[in-house]
Amino acid sequence: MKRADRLARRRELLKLIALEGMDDRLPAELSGGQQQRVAVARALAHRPEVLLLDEPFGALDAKIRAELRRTIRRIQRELGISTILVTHDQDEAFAMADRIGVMHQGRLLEVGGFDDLYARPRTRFVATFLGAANLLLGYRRGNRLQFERPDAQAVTPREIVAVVRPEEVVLNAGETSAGLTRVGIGVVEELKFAGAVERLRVRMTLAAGPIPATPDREGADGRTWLLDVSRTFPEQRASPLAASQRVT
Amino acid sequence: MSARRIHSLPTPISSFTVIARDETVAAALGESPFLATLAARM
Repeated sequence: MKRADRLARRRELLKLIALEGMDDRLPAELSGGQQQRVAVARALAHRPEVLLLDEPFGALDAKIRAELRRTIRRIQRELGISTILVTHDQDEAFAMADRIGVMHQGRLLEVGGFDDLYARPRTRFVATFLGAANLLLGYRRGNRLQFERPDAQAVTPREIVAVVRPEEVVLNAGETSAGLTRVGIGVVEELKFAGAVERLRVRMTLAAGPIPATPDREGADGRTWLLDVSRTFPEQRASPLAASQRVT
Repeated sequence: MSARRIHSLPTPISSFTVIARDETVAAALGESPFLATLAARM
C-alpha cells in the first residue's frame, strides 16, 4: 500500500471512530475509551469480513462503556460488518446484539433474538441468566395452569416448570382477577430502590403455595422460599408496602 | 398474589426426587455427576 493510501485509510478510520485530528497522539495521551476505539480501528484496517470483539469494554467505567457501545454499534451498522461480541454482561448483549447465543459450560444452549430468549426461554439457565426469573413448579391440565398442588384427582395434571418474571407478579390482586393466574400469599421480606423500579422479595411458605423449581430459592429453615417481585413507581405509589407486610 | 404472564419451559423433565436410605446418601446421590448434569439441562 502506498504511503498516501495508508494516510487516507488512517484518516478514514479515525473519522469512523470519532478521533479525527488525533493522529499524532501517543497511546498514553488517550483515555481508556479512546484506546479501545483505536483498537477497533486497527481491527478494521484490513477490511475483515467478520469482526470478533472479546469483552471489549471490561476495564472501562459505565459512562465510557455506554458511549463505546453506541460507537461500535454505529460503526457496525455503517460498515455492515458481521460482528461477534463475547460478553458476560447481559445488558451489553441486549443493547448491541441482533441475535444472542447463550453458552454455559462450553455448550451453546440457545440462540435467538433478545425478546425471544427473554420471553420464551427453553432452559432454566437461560431463563435465569437473562434477567431475573422465578422458576416454579406448576401443573397444567389442558390450557389451564395452576400452582396449587393437585389433590387426589382422577387425572393427574402434567407438571411443568413455569417462568414468572418479577415484573409480571401482581400484588394484592384479589382471589379471582380476570386474566391472572393465582400464585399465593406471602410476607414482604425486603424492599429495595433500584432506579426506575422497586424490587421486593416476598417470603412464601412451601407447605401452602407453589414450590420453587430451583433449590437455591429455599430458605435455611427448609419451610419457606423467596419470590422476586418488581414494581414500577406508579404501581408503588398506588399501593405502598412495608417490610413484614402480608401480601395476598 | 397473581401473575400476568407465565411461560412454561418446554423441558421434558420438570423435577426429580432422590430417594435413598438416609439423607446423607440422598444428598451424595443428588450431587453425583449424572444427576448434576441432568439438573443443569432440565
